[in-house]
Amino acid sequence: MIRGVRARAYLLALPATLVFAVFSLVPLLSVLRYATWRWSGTTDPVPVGTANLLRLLSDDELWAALGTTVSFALLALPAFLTLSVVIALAIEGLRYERAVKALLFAPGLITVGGSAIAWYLLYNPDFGLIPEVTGLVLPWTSQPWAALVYIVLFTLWQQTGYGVLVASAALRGIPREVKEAARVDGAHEGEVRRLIVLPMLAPTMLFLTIIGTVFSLQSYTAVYLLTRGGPFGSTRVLGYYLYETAFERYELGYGAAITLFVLVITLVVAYLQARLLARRGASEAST
Amino acid sequence: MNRSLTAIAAALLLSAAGAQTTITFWHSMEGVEDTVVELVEAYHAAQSDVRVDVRYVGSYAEAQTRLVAAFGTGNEPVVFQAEIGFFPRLVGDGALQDLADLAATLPDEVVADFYPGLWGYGEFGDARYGLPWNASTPVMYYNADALRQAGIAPPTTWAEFASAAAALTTRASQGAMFVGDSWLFEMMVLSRGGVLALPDGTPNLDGPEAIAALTMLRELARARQLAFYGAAESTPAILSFVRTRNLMTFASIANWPDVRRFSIGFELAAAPVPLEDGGRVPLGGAQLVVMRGASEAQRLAAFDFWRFLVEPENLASWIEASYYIPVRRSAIPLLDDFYAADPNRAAALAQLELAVPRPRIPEFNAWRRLIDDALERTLRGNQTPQAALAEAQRRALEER
Amino acid sequence: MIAMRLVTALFAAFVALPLAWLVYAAFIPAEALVRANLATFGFSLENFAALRGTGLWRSMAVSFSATSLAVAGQLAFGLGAAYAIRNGLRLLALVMLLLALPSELLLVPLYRQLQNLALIDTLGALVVPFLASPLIVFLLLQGLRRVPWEVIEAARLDGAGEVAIVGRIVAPILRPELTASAVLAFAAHWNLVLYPRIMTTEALWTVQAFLTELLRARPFEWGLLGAAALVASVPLIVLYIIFEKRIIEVFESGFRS
Repeated sequence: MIRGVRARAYLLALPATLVFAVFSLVPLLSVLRYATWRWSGTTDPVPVGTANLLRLLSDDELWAALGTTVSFALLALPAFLTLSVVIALAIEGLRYERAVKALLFAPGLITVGGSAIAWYLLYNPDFGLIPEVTGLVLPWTSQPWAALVYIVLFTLWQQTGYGVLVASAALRGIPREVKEAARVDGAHEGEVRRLIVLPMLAPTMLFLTIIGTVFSLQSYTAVYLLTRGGPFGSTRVLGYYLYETAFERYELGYGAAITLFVLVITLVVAYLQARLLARRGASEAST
Repeated sequence: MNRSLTAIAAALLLSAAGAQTTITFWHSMEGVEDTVVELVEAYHAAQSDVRVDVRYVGSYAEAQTRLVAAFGTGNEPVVFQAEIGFFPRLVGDGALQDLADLAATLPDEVVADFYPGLWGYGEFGDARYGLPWNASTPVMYYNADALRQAGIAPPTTWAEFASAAAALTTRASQGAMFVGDSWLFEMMVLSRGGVLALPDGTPNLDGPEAIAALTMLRELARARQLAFYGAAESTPAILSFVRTRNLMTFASIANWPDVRRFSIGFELAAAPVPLEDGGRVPLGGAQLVVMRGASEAQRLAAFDFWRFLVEPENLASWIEASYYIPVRRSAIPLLDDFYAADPNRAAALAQLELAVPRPRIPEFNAWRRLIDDALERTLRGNQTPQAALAEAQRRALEER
Repeated sequence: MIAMRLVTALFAAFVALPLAWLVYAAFIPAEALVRANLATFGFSLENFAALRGTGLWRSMAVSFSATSLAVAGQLAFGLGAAYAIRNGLRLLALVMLLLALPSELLLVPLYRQLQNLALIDTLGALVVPFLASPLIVFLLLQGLRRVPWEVIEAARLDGAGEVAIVGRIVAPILRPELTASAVLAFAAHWNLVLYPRIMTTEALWTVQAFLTELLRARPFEWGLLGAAALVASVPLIVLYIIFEKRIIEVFESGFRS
């Protein structure tokens, strides 16, 4: 009887599994196949065995793109986490807490094309509104470091809202009694924050880190909309390099190999972080 | 000869049998899609053997992505508008059908009526893979008021251009503007009598004319007499022009209606690009091609459709809407009123006899990117023209 | 704390700026942007009026139908899958794998898939591949931990079928998660750009595909573009305002320490 119930419960996963299988797994298998071809897409593919995979190892541009991506992640992730926590702490319990959260979440709702236009018009060094009005210029069209900063800023602009929502929710979940007890024992606010609140936030922060890492490793929308990998290829992140290879240079076979590369790295990093998260024990977001 | 007889026979058979052939036509003519639809409808009204299923499939880049995705699925179009940078790749991949036998059925006067550069573009040896329809050349756009006030005539040589840029530069505006598009750079090289690819197909990205062109740009940029925008920044670039932040620039003649619409503060004019002795201008635009998967009946139908599109009257209506250049001489008298109403529209005509195809080498697409890079490095970064172009040349040779 | 408040204020201003610009551009006369002076203050609705007849409304209708259908599927199928996992089905590893998949390169094989199913250029192309989402499964799985298992056992003993249990017992308990997932899923699908442009043609463009085209066709008309971007964002903003409380609740309940 129990078996039958279990089986029927499992059946409920059938529709989703079907969709995943047909529209994610099968295409993934195709991509695996493409990785063994040299193929421009407009003519028959030529099987080349492992040539594409070997090319991955010697492709300077790929490793440069990985380096750029890592730099991006190292800049963006800590800033994202710090801002999320700091802002969540700062607005906790205030009257306009909900308004601030709504504002910060808004960029995620505004269509991404519109955001790109607005950013371009505001921050372009040569004629943007901000340089014109304030004289503050970020030379992101000519200086590689500035371009990376620009991409990081746009990403933070778009994504911090989520982080604040999550951090704020986690803060709410910290039992008041624990903090009260500490205060009664003579700890002042700063210590309460440092010694009680932050450690209890740690699992949530790890969760955000995992999601953030996957995003950093793969996303390239900001690069596509704002810098196109420039200047001088300094913002060419892995995702963008993949896009260029497949859809601008029409090397679909090699592009498939890069996809696998990105996939493997993402899985490895995510797995390691998930293990860390699981080991921490607490919090619901475990594997 | 046999082939053309077969073709005609097949066509007759088709029309006799009353069988209707449907061909899909994918194009990227944004902004004038309605005109394309009108042309198709006129074609349908003029005959009943062929039905054209016309689809606007996005920009050239998106059309290419779509084509790639559709390859081998049976969803490919019969007729595709291949941008001339993508066209050689399609040829090189063997993705297109040879139309030489059909082109041979055209009367001699018709063939002679096409401008040689435009007609020859689709030919590869004895084969023909592309048919001309929409073509453009770069022209020089300038702020006529500003030039008049400064007492400067529109420059006709590069030396004149440089001194005009210097003379026009004030605190509020720069004399000139350049978008780092490889086509426009190619124009600068060709107009000096140089080439970016040698006849045997090897790259020539660091020839003396290329270095001279890039050096001129660099000097003007350093003297703040020329504003430089990257290849992806053409929109803000044009905007800066219409806001009179700069006064001379280069773009396709097909951009005229857009630029004109926004040049509300001043009188906009267009002129042929500066030329040196032996100079040429590059053609832009696309070729109509027939994809490999099309049936024989569809191939014939496609050719018939193209013939309709390039009938002088149809060409004339097309050009009045799109501002592309006439690919046949006999269309020009039909456009007299059009050009008389605004002589600027004819700026590209004077260059037509000098127009040459872009190098039809499959790798040229990749070289375009190398040129874009070199332009950026020199005009935004610190590399010298020689070093940047030598680097581009080196990488182009590597990739062959 | 003062330092933290300051950081918050600065960041809030930073976030607000581009949004304010979009609103500003949408409401000033179109030609103000082309004239040299960007700081003109005329108020005008002409940009919104100009939207009529551009096809924006049609594309919003397409987006609305496609996204609603997709989200309905994601919730229903996602709940089913999460429930199965909670009952012991070892599907989680697969879900995590799918979360890590970079979707863009799947575009080409996916096109063929849809071609084989005769879904290209139909509403189905926008809906069917999106009827399930790994992220939603994940979120709902989190939510299921809240459900007291005794209730389900009791219902089983009473002879209720699994579907009935999920529909009548679990779903109501999970309403906050379902609501939050619905909003997030709606936003994610609504904002897809590259995919709709490749899988469908003009007649079936979504809002984002339409906006991209507008950006290409009329690149200087920032007023129009701003107005279009705002209008296209309205459904999301409305949804968020209505369901904001729920979304917060869900995040809270999911992260109790």
